[in-house]
Formats: sequence, structure tokens, C-alpha cells
Amino acid sequence: MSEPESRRRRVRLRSVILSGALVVLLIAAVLVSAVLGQLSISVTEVIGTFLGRLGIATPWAPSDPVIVATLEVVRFPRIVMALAVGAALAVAGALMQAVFGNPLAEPGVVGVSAGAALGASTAIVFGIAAGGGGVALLAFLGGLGATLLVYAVARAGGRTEVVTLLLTGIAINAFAQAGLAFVLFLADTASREQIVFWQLGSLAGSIWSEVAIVLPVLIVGTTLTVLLASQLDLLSLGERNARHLGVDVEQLRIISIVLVALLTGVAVAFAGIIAFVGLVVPHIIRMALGPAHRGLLVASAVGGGALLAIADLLTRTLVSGADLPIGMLTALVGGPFFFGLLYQQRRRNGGWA
Amino acid sequence: MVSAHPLARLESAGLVLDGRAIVKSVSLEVDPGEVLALVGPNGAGKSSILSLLAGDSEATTGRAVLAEKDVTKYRPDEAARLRAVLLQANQVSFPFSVEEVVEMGRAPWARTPQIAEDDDAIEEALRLADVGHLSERVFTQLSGGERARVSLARVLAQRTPLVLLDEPTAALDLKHQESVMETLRALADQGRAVVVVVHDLSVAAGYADRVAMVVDGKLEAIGSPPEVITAERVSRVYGVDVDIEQVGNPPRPVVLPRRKP
Repeated sequence: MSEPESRRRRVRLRSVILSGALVVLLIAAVLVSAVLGQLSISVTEVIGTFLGRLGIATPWAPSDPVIVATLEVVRFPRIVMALAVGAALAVAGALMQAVFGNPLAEPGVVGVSAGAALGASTAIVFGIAAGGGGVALLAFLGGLGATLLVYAVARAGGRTEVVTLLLTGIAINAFAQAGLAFVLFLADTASREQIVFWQLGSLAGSIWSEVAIVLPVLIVGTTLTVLLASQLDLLSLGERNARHLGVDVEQLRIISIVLVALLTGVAVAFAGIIAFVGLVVPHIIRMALGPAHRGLLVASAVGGGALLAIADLLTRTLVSGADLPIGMLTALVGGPFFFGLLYQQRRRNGGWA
Repeated sequence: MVSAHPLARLESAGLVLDGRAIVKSVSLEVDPGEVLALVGPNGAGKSSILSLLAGDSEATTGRAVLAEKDVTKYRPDEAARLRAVLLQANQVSFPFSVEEVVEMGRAPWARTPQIAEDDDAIEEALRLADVGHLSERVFTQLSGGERARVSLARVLAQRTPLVLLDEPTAALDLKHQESVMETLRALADQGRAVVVVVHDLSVAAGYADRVAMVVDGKLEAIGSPPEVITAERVSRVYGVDVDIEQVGNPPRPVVLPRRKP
């Protein structure tokens, strides 16, 4: 067996183990989320309801219609939404880091989420809802605008220096916050309250009709991103080298930016601003699997879903009878993580490169 | 592989960037089987000539031709199967291993029959650039000279008819400088065309079939090493008094600056 082959085999083995662990984590998070809540439901009842929905009758199916309704109308859509939003944010983060050639690029940090939030709240206040589709569309446009702006301002020669990236993020976040404040000022009391809560990030009240918008976007977006994986690998050599190796860099950039905006926009539209998922998840996966993008993107999607399902479970259960904002929770964990990363980068590059 | 036509050529190519003429009407040809060294003072436009040949920059006047077609008219993946480029500075954004970086050199051949050569090409490139022992290491943790050699290995793995290199020996010690130049010589002997920017005139003269001296965006001289590297010309162009010794057989010029005692 040749050297490269043994290395490849080791990497493959590691990715199989990691994927397995992530899937187990994800299933456990889903089951516990379905079981815990104001109404206690047993694991067998959860499985019975789920299989019953798939048309498989089991003796486990609960007879109590309240339990069935709680699972099918409240908990299941919320869990699926958590998985989808987490996956979308993690994939968007990994993709953004690839395009910016910088592991600190993240939709929340650089202001893409805030741009999407501005778009979404505009839709809410001016009543451009159209069954959730209008909110998603404006969130996408807001996110796209912010991504294009960061991209135009912060990049030089295919790379983005940490300082420039963060400063651009500060400027865009400030602008989007000002826009949000203005929209809030215009809003009536009801939509004002809605926006404030949604700005903190929450999966409460997720319904199937919203899931039906998020899920297709997630699946299409993630699939397209994974198809770009080998080109994203080449992009880490820098734009000129990537072009010398046959990558149509212009085209790759445009597609990637639209995908980042799409994934972030659809997540923000229905879950508000949930920062740092796109930073923490790809970073941990990269440490475990290495930086090759195919494995990184797939594992990030699974890991992001698991992380957000767990985070959402915590928001529902930490304080009984109350739903904590999930964005607050992820920021509490992600903030220190970001500090750590920043410190590490500074030390390694001996400055602010 | 040797053909009647040059593999690549510049036809009165000029390049203007930000209103400044970087390259002024340069014409040159590169044939399969030869090493062409580009020499000249700092800022003379050597790298820009390389980027014209590579198709990175579009000629403002004239044009660059690769395999009988305007080089800017190729799709990126087609061009990548015809020419490989080693740039001066090589960074990698994420902690890829040396072997993964060299493997990226094979990307243009994905979905072609030559994919069968992948393992062979990677193994050979690692050996030629003397980086086999680094293959498990992470690129971002290597020294400057090691990074340069790994990047060279990536370019070698690409196995293209035209190889363009911008100062491949700049960060290297004497041993690796010589082995890199020998490798380029061997590539040319296999029938490939090699264009290399070198600062050390003696190194250029020692390995190149032809030397092109670039001064202020223009071609000052092009020809065999003894024709181009003369004491008069080097002294005039670089503003340094030099003596030239002819060493070896066939004789190749070695440049010795006259130093104060």
C-alpha cells in the first residue's frame, strides 16, 4: 500500500468515525428534544408517533390526542427547524471562510445576518409577508447586499486580513442596526415586539409551512456547495493559483456569495440572528477532519444541526416555563470561542495579518 | 512533442497598468524542449511578462499566444492543462497537508484519462522537489524555503507542456537551488518548455538554453547565455562593474562583481 493511500485511508476512517458520532449526537438531541417539555412524553411514544406518520403502525403509538398534537404541531416542526437552521448557518460559515480565505469569516460576525435581519424586519413591518415567503425573500436580499459589500470592501488579492474583515463587519453591523432601529421606530407595537424577540433569535413557534421553505433551500444550497468542494480547496491556494489550476474564479465567487446569502437569509428569516454557529462548527470539524472541503461541508451540516438542536433544547429547559432567546445562548458560548480563535491567529501570525 | 511551432509566444505584447507601461512591445517565442531564463533588474517587468504568457493579464497591445491560440481565449481548465505557473509568494489559507497541496496540482486532469497518472505524478513531484519527507506535514507550518519547494512540487505534478516559474530559487539554499534548476533542465529535456525568472545571472547562464534580459519593460537582448550576458551589457544595465568568466564546456558565463579590496 502506498503512502498516500494509507493516509487517505486514515482520513477516511476518521471521517467515518466523526460522522457516526455526529449522527448519534444528532439523533440523541432530537429524541431528548421531543421527550422533554412542559408535557412529558416517553421515548416510545415519540418513536411510535414518528413511525405512525410514516404509515408504520406500532403498539407504541400514543392514544392520547394531546400527545400526538404536541409532537406533530409543536415539537417536531421546531426540531426540524433547529436542524435545518443549524445546518444552513454552519454550511454558510464554512463556505464564507473558503471564499474569504479566512477562518474568522462568519455571517454573524461580518454583518450578513444583520443585513438579512434588516431585510426580514422590513418585510414584517410593511406587511410583505406572503405566507413567510416575502420575509425570506427580503432576508435573502438583505443578506446578499451585506455579503457583496463585505466582499467588495474587505478583500485584497483574494485574501482578507482579519482586521479589515472585522472592521468591515463592525461598519455593516452598525449600519444594519441603524436600519433596524429605524424600522422599529416605524413599526406598530405588535410588530415591534415581534421584531425585538426575533432579533434575539428564537425557534419558538416554528410551523411546518415555514419548515417547507427552509428545508428545500437548505438541501439545494448544501448540495450545490458540496459540488463546489474541490474548487474551494483550490481557492485556498489564492485566487491566481486557483485560476492556474483551472478554476473559473469569478464564477465560483458569484455562486458562493449567492449561496451564502441564500443559506443565511433563509435561516435568519425564520429563526432570527443566531450568531457564531457558522464559526464554531466548521472550526471544530476542521480540527478533527482537516480542511478539505467535501468532508468539512457535509460534517458541518450535520454538526450544525446537532448543535442547534441541543442549544434549542437548552433554551426550552434551562428556565422552566420560559423560552430563552437562542441567539443569546449561542453568543454566550461562541463569543469566548471567537476570542480564543482571534488570540490564536494573532499569536501565529505575529500580528494582525 | 517537438513541433515546428513555438509552444508559446508574445507578439509585440504591451501591458499598461494604472496608466503605467509595464511591458513595452515585447516579442519572444518559447519552444518545446528549451529553458528560457528571464533576467533583469528589479521592477523591469519580468513577472508581468510571465503573467502575459500565463494569461493572467490581457495584453493591452499585441497578444500572447499559447499552442496557436490567444491565451486569454482558453477556458480556465483548458489553459490549466497546457501551462503551470509558480508564483513568487505562495500561501495557503487553511492547514492543508503538503501532500494535499501537491495533489491539488492534479486538479486540471480530473475527468480526463490522465487521472490514471495522478499517483505517479504526485510521487514524482514530491521526489523531484525533495519534499517527500514533508508529505505529512502541514503547509502553513513550513519554512519559507520548504513552502517554495512544495509549491514547486505542486506545479510539477500538473505535468503541463509549458511551465512558467517566477523566481523558484529565491528562498532556497545552494543545494536546493541547484537541484531545482537541474529539475527544470530535465523537464526541458523531456520536451517541455520552461520559462523561468531568475535573479542570479550565473544560475540563469548555467542552466538556460536562452536568456532574455528585460530592462524597463523592453527586451534588451535575447539569445544564448554568452551572447546576452556580457560584461559591457551587465555593467550598463545593472550599474555595477563586473567581470565575466567562462566556465565549463560548453563555456557558460559566470558573473563576478568587481568589489572594493
